[in-house]
Amino acid sequence: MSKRILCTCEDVTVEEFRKAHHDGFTEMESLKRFTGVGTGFCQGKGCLCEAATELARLRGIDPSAIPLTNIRPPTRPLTFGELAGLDLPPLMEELERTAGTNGDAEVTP
Amino acid sequence: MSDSTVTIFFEGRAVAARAGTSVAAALWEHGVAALSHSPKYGRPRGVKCARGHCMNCLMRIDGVPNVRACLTQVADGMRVGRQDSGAPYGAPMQKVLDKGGHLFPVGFYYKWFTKPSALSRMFMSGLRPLTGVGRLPEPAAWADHGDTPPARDLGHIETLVIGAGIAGMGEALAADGEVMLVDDSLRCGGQRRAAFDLVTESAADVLNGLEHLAALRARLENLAARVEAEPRIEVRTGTTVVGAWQPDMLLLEDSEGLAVVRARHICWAAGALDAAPLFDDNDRPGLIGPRALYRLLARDGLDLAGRATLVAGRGFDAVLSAALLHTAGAKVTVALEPGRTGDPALLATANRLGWSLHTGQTIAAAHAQNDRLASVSLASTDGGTTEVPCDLAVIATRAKPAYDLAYQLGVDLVLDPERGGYVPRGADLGRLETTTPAGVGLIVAGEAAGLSPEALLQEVSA
Amino acid sequence: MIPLPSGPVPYQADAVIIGGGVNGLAVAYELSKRGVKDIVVLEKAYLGSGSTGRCGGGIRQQWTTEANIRLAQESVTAYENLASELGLQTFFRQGGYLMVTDNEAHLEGLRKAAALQNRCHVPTEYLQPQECLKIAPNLDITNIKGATFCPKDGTAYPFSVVWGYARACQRRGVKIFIRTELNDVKLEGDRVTGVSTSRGDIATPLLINCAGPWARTLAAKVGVELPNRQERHEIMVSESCKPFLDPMVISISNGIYFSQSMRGEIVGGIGDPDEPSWERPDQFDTRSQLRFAVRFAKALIGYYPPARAMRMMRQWAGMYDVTPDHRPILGGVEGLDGYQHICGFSGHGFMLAPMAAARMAQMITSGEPDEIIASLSLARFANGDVEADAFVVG
Ligand SMILES: Cc1cc2nc3c(=O)[nH]c(=O)nc-3n(C[C@H](O)[C@H](O)[C@H](O)COP(=O)(O)OP(=O)(O)OC[C@H]3O[C@@H](n4cnc5c(N)ncnc54)[C@H](O)[C@@H]3O)c2cc1C
Ligand code: FES
Repeated sequence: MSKRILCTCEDVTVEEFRKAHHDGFTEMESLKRFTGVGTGFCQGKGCLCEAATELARLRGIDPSAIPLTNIRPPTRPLTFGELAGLDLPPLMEELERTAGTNGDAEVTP
Repeated sequence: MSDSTVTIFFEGRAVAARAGTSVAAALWEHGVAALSHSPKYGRPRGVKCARGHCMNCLMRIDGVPNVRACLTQVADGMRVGRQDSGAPYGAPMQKVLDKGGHLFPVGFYYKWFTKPSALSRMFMSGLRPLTGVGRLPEPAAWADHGDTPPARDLGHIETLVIGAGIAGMGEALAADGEVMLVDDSLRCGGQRRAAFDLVTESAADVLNGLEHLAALRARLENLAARVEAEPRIEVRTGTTVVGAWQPDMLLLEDSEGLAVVRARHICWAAGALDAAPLFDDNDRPGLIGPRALYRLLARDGLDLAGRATLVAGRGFDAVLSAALLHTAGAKVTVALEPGRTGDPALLATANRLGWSLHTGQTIAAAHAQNDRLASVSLASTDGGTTEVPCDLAVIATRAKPAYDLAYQLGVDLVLDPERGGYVPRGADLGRLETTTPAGVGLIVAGEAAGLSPEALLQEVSA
Repeated sequence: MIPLPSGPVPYQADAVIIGGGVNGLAVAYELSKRGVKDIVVLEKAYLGSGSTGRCGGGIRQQWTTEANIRLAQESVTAYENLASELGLQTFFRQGGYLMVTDNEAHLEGLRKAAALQNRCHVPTEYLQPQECLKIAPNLDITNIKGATFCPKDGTAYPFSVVWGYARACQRRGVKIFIRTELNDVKLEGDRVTGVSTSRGDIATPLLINCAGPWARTLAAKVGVELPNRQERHEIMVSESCKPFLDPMVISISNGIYFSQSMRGEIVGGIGDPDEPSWERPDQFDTRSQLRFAVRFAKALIGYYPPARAMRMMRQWAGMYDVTPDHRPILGGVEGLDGYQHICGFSGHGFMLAPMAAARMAQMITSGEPDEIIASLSLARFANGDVEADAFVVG
């Protein structure tokens, strides 16, 4: 069956994305969680722009009005073995606790 | 690229591979384009980005699941295999879904078999074996692992430039004080420079008359020579930035593992990611972008002699891809996007080198046979369609500015499909200078700031 | 699902619920089931955008206080039937919770808790380290001194629970407004009479505060001071893998918890003793710390060595709304009519939501007092009537 794949990691077609929008998932935040777009191994590198552009088209709004969803570190998966190797005492102590120290906390998109 | 060979075992069969090449390239040459199967529809997937960004090449290698075959060098005795769907009914069910997917409501696994509770439970236990990709690593991969080598702390540096392409090298030269310039390719100048090297080493005359390309190359060489001669600049190739954490912590990964670094100034000049246009069966093994091609040829030495190849798209990267494919001994067809007629020099080159050239074309569909690309259908502006048989197609449409690290560093990004994707707000002139919440000076430059490579060249030469 | 609103909020409602998290939507559903007609739910961002969408989805009955055990136990029964009740899969899977400790001093507490849970008919077993391997193969038991296991505990996918409640609400005529913020509460004397929102005013005799980590800010608008602190907690997912781990493993000695989701990912977090609590919601900082990734990786490998060769995919953070005894605040406030709390859940508001909501709705509609709600009232802090739960992890 021929398919236009929007998100290869989660196997989401353009059609499915549109149907999910039709089901009432009208924002990237919920579309992403419902269809899986952007949540797979590539973390959206392969599909986030494309999906957001499609959503703008579906909603008939300017693409710039579609907010970007959070992009969490790491940007490439790292083994727990490698991460555990980062337990460098000076570094761990130095890690700053940013609580309440700045006014630009992340906003919920 | 070394001439010695090693033997890897692909699903039990011995496969000879050139030492130094990647598992993905070795298997492709061996006739295996499908490295994995997609999770829901079981569709064959092959190498796509060749730089660890997607998941198409996740394989089980030496007992470890989900290893990226495009980043893994072959080694003697290495065991490589595709990962299965997890249950005997997995593959047949994927077929049903693939064939009849349009009959299922979207997210049917949320909506079906919810009632009564007993059925819902049965559905869940039937579903579970199909979830996930790859089986647990085998004990040898973790049991006697000893202690993981500690990561390195590179401390605080003055300036970190991420991406050693035209923009990154330019920024590194312009910065004050000590600079660390990192790039995930193996060459200062990035993958394009490595690609040019390959072309000029073996068939310099390919570039004759292609003035834009020659100018790009001259620019790259000039900047690289200056960077390499500059003692202030430490170049680290084969180094990928793998994330930014609060408040200003960056992690680098290279052949020795992870390293933490903090910088007073950061320049994000990581270029762009290959585009992923949406046409029918756009996920077929053998469809790649120019950046992937540069890596597969310059880094892995992929053997394409005699293969039928197609380059579709526009701009520098389309032409450079065609030149590279030609150099590699492939048969080349070039299909330029509508609005891109190709300059006379390109037409002359195509003529001279025997490329077949189509203009005003967009890709309508890809077709596979035996789990690998067989042909690509082009639709022309006048309504006609052309079917181009090919083993490999390079899609060189407008690339997407690299954005993930910019986001993590606190850059406000805005979606602009005209410029390929997410671009920093306020970088209308192709460069943004700002300060992060943690007080780090931040520059976004080059293709990462939304410039096309053509505009970048003008910008830099101006 | 719930589309973006296209007009103003209704000018009047029988109940206004603040918060489109699991608690707000569950109580809206339970109220509508009990015949309350005009219900409006307000959510300032998207459904599940608060703690709910950031949580680990763990559901356990292994607690040390009877109120928590009973709420959790009733909630597990509710979760067992929730997919069928709401008509949407919740991906609730009862792989059990394996609660381990490396600390001899905890063993007595684990035994006692298991006994109390057994008295409440929760089938918890006390296990020797060796026996853990039957439940979680490949676990490294070198440092484990003892454990308890309840096979009826499990995990669910927070977003599908939220959507399930939202859809069921919608079918019953509940009006859910996303991207709509409560700005102010109107009081007349000692009663709530309405709210003003970013999409207009609503007159209402009943306001329910399900605002999660923002509950304290909202309570302040009606002059109620909550003792809740807000704490950042970080959590992560790994790349996905075929099923290899059935239970949620949770350590009361170092605070790590991890399980395998129905997508095959390891989902887990670890508490950080140095995590400060924050006073102002505009300071909630849920950006990612490398320190968390490193601490989690070390602790994970410590209990589950195969993870050495597995990969972390992404980390994120959310806020806990923490009360002095780590137990929720349910019910109203003496001397203020038309105002109710469902908040202060610390790290366990997802698992307690179905029953907290059902009991609250029952109490509100019947006017009959509820013994558990009474034991969890705000007044308990003033009365000094607090019994902290010892099994607070994560
Ligand atoms: C990392 C982490 C892991 C966790 N793991 C678990 C777990 O395994 N098991 C478990 O049971 N619990 C867990 N929890 C706790 C659990 O997530 C919470 O207790 C629970 O989700 C609370 O749900 P809620 O509906 O009360 O609040 P929330 O989900 O926070 O919902 C409150 C909503 O109110 C909205 N709101 C606030 N103010 C306003 C306003 N003025 N106007 C309009 N809307 C407003 C917010 O936007 C938000 O969506 C975890 C929490 C975290 C952070
Ligand atoms: S990650 Fe290997 S091809 Fe993309």
